[in-house]
Amino acid sequence: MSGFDITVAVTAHNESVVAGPTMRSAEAAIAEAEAAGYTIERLVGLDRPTPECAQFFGQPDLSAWSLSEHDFGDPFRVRNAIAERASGKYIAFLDADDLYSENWLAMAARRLDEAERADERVIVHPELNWIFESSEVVFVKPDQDSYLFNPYYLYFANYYDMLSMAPRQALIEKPYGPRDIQNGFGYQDWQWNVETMGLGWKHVVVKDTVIFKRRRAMSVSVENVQRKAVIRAMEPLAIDRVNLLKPTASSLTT
Amino acid sequence: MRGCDSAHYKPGIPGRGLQDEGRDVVMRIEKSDIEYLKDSGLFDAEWYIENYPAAAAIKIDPAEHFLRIGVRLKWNPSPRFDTAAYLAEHPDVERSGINPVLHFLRNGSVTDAKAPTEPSAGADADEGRSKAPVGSPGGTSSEFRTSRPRRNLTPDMQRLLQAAERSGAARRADATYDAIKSEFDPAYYLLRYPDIARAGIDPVRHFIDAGAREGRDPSPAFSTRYYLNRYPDIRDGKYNPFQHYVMHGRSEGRGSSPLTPASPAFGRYCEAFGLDPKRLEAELDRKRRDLRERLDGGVLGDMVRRAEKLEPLVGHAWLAAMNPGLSPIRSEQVLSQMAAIHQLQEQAARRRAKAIVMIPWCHVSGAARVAAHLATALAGIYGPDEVVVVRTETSEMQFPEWFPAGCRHVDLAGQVEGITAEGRQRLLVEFLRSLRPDVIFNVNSKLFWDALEPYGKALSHSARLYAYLFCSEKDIFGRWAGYPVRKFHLHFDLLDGVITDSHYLADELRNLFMVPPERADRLWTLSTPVANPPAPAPVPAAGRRRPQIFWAGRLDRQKRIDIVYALAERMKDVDFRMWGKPGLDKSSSRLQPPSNVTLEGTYKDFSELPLAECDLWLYTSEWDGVPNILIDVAAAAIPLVGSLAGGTGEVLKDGLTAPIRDIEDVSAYERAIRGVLSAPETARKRAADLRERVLSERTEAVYREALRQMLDRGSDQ
Repeated sequence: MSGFDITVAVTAHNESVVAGPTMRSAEAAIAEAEAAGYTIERLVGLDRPTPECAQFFGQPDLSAWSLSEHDFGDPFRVRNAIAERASGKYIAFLDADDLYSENWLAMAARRLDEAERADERVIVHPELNWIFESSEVVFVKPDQDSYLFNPYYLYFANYYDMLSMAPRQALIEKPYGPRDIQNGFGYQDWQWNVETMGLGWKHVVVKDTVIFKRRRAMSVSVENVQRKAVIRAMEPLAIDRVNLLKPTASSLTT
Repeated sequence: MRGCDSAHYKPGIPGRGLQDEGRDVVMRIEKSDIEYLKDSGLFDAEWYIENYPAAAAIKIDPAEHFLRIGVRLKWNPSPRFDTAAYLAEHPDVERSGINPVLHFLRNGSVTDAKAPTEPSAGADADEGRSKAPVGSPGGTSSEFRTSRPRRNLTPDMQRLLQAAERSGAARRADATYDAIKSEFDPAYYLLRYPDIARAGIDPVRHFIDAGAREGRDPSPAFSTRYYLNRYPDIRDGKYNPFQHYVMHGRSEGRGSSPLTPASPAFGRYCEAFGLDPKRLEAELDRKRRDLRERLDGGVLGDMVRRAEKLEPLVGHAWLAAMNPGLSPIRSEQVLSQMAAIHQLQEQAARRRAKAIVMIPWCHVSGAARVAAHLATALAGIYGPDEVVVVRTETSEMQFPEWFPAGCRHVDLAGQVEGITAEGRQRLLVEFLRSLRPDVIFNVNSKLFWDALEPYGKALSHSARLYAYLFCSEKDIFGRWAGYPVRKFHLHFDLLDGVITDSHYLADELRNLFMVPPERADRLWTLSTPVANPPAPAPVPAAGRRRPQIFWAGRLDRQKRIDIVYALAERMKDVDFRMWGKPGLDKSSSRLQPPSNVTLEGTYKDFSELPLAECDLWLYTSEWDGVPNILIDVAAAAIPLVGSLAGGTGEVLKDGLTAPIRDIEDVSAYERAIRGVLSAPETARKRAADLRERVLSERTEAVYREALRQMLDRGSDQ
């Protein structure tokens, strides 16, 4: 495996020109990460792409990006496949209609470097989720060991969503689960976050970084809400285990 | 003044790696440029590293980093110079590739009016005033003042704020204005209410004159409508609500918005998790202020502005960012759910369970008795500590002694304050899943039935699901309703087993819904056991006494007390003694009992009744399952006359009792009663035979074994 520091992995299905800002934001973040000395692998995973989507990502201006095509119908399985083939030490995913903040890659990688030096298992997320377009909501995520973090929230909501940068090792150790909306299960990112927490990966946020999430009228997350999907029952959320998800402070009172 | 072509940069070209082009720039930097920049006062090394940590990763002088790399990324050398804005205003500089800061240093002091005149923004913030950075449009006005750096606001917004400031400065003296001004958030107000921005009026003045009355909010931290609704005592108009909060409400501990210590949900959350509400509030407040400062004038907001240049729609969420959700303190509903599930888990002693029994409540009811039998049998199979009984509709637990010692009881109904019906379903499902059970039984919990619709499939992946059905109900118009009618077809495929207490109902469901033979084994009839078999009731002493007919049940339409009263009218030589109280359906309570009817009230246990005085037990229900009272009476060897309705025939055996087929035929009841009263010894003998049969068929061991078979079948599948 060659020595890229970061694999930036964009996943797409039916996005075409809406991915223009996405790719430009990815390039801006890549430029900053490269300026900080990181080497970047650029990958795009196309999952049952529409003709327009394939055309968009096939354009010459994106020739620096290596394309792979998949037949999953599940963006999380695409991510697993990309993680398998990625050469980067860290993997940063990006949905083809979202945007990174320009500093995301460099600062996230720097935080993971620090964790590695401290021999910690860490997965990082942007500090803000900035939701725009069909709804406008901004929310702030806490570190898993912050005063505000409460593991009981994970029964009802996801702190971090899918946008993360993780050591490739984390994704190999715990790939995303399959989508199974017919049986009432969605939110594979939420599930993965809890599962990795249960495996001792600490989730932290990187100050001053943002994921700009385009909320479209119909999307996987909208479908999850409409169908009242939940995550699967998991050991880390068992009655006698849930308190262990608060890693450093043993209780919320500290 | 030196030449201006010594330092060049090139903007990045998206879609291609930038490193090769960057090297071109590296070659053109001269050491003198670095020193010149450092001496200029426009470069702040500490600020630069703090705001662009990536710069620290490369071990070169920060000023050199800026000239070589940072400027290409349009980073700023300090808060005093906005690289992107300068380039936007000087496209010739951008086209020529000249370093914009050096361009400004060498030319700006002469040709450009944007020379810095005040210290850095960082110092200003502490002093409560700042100067917009060089290069940014806000920097053109020496009038611009604010409590914090606002360089990330759009030029238009900054102009609007300046206009608001000027308008405010010209105001007349006003106590309300003075009280709220310092906490009023004009940027928020203008962005949230564009009509005020368009009108070009002072937002503070508008809020005082009209906004508060219109329910508008002066800042993201204060909800006018919430405050007025929560504290009606200030609706007298004496105070502007925000003024009241600032001057009095805050020190009185009143809440400014739902997510503050004054909110019951916030309080429940803090209490459940042992948090100090004031400390949590302070932490949230600190975080919001910090975020706002970084959005308005720091790297965070700069990142948003940069993204906005790539996707203009990003900028439309600025208003949302002024009032961000701070997970997990984001909604009263979620706070209440979190507090509730924590408390439920505490009640469950923070241990897993293998079997869960869901009940609506526990008071005098057949379903509660059946649930207790079920819990007892499950305790026999899994062990008492592995059984959790959950009450979902009310907290009532009148008969804990019915349930096995050592099983755990959870009062979910007592923890759902402030949670919507939908939120309760989710709470229940998450609580159940956290127990990691093997099996879940529903015995008439409406919440569980309702939760199955959205969450049944997911729940069925965590545990085997079973549900008891007793009998359908007739509504006041005579239409059939109740769980068998409403729920069986919805959830039969999902459930591992449907249990009835009568073969009658099982057959009815099988026939009505044409259950295919391959699935018929999911329908089980478990005969409700007699837990503590009573001794045969003493035969009333012979002699001159009026015959006594006993009756018990809810005094409602289903139980047909009108038939009892009609019989009493016909049989004045007999006394009718009735136990029970009205149920939800009060339509029968207006009937006047005849003089030979005595309403005895309620009893807690069948054994409390004066059975030695009972000549005959009368049962008149119009529809039913297998009522416990019939089983109790049969077990006490008391002669029975009763209506054949639903499952009652499974106790009212021909030859051993007097079953009435046409339940409206009062004469038939009378004939049967007189038959029993005229031949008491025969009736007692038959009752004794019935007792023997009931006690042999309805034992706890038989029930437990049938249950075990059902569970074994489910686990095989």
